[in-house]
Amino acid sequence: MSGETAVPEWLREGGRVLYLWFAIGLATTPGAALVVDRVLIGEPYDAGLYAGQLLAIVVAAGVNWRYPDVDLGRVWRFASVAFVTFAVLAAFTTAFDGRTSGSLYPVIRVTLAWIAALAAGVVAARTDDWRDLLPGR
Amino acid sequence: MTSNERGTTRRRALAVGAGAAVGSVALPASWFHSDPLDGTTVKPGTWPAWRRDPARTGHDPDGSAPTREPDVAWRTTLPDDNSARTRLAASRGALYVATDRRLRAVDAATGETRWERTRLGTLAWDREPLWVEGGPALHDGQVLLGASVSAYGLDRDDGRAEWQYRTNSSLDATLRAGNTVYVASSVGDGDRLVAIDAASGLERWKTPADRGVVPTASAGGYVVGPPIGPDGSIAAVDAGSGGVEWTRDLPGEVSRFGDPCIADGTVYVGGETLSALSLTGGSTRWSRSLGVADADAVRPPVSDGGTAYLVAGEPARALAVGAERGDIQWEVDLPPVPPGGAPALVDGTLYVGLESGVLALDAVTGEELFRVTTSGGANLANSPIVAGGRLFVALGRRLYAMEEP
Repeated sequence: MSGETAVPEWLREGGRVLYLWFAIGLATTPGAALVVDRVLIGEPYDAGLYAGQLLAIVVAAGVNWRYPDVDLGRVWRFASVAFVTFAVLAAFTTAFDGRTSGSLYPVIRVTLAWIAALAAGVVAARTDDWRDLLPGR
Repeated sequence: MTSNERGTTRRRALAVGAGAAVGSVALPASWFHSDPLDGTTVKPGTWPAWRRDPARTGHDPDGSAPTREPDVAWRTTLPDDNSARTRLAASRGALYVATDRRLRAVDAATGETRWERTRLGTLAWDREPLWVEGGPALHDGQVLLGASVSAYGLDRDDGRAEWQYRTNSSLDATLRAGNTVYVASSVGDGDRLVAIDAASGLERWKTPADRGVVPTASAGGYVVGPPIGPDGSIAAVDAGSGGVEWTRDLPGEVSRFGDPCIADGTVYVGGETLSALSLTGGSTRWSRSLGVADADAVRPPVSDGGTAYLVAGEPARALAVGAERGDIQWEVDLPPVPPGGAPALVDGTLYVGLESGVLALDAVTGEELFRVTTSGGANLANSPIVAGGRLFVALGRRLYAMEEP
């Protein structure tokens, strides 16, 4: 008899979804929160953060259902690169510390930054060797 | 999917990401806001802001209003019973009434409420109830309002907020000139004057920390008001850039309620003295002692260019002061007047808000034309306005529309 204790399937599944949620939340919450903050005037109770978390839950559940064997390491690579890219763009654009809500300009700038961050995350998740991205490879 | 196809997809994602990143950083704000317009003229028969125009003359040369004991066309009750101030603006058949905690649009013909706002957020359960700091001011299809720490552009038809510009602290003042809204408040690491595009709510420029003026009047490409920094008692900045043009110290204290007005290139500032300064250079044209014990007992002046009018002192008196040399043309004792109100000057008649009514004086002679006394007392400000031939007065919780009998 071995000393190992079998982890119940539901617990493993739950932990995996939680793990996915945290990772995807890292990629979605800052962008969604900022977009919602710029769209809504007098946004209530940090609505942007809640919206970002809700989006993360939905996406995590979708990924878990559609890709049950997804590599969690890749998901974390996607999330961390998306987060860092968003943070770097935040340092270079005033849209992030802008004071205007309800206007198209800050909404577009923040949305573009979020798209750029997610795209960088996708590229990072799907690339094991960066030389694959070079033209002609 | 082959590795070659994956590479193509990744390169596409990389291209999309790079394009979006460049767009996010480099997208020009100028594509989204309108070019600044000089808009110091106001349509006759309208009163779109406090003291009517950006120069704060309080004067409508082409308007008409009652010149003898008026009839009350309608009256309505305002629900904000503890409001310290009631501010009025009128245009296009609507009257906009801002009390401390609500903004109401009223049909100027009937007094019926068109809409009312106690919160300005997009969602019904937004973060904070309304707390009005400045305005209302009307511009095209918008009502501009300073509330709590933000400036707002609202749809004039339904009061829906179109944009919000947030600062770090309560707004010191808001002023609309042309299609630009000027606000003074704490922004970033200091107090600043900020110019905001009225159409989009986007920032045009802001002054460096602790520079600029509290925007109280604008004309001829200048914004005038008390300096934000420690020096001087009045200053002017370039309306297009915020650069300080001049700063002056005035003799005696300046009234907290004595916001300047500008008429025919002269800035009138009230306090222990009434001073007339050149708009372009800030040089003193004349200065006259008002003989008041308390500078704050001097209310904001209004002017038609030839004469400046103001209410000063406790007990209060109305004065007409010649613009050329500062000579007192007439002086009239008044019943009690609240501290923050400004008179309205229309077609040769000066309307002065009292603590319990309104008084009309002949602007040339100072002769009393009529006096309406009501039972409801005024709050801190009683600034009558005139639009569409009617005189509108807010007294306590009552709003009155008066017309020629």
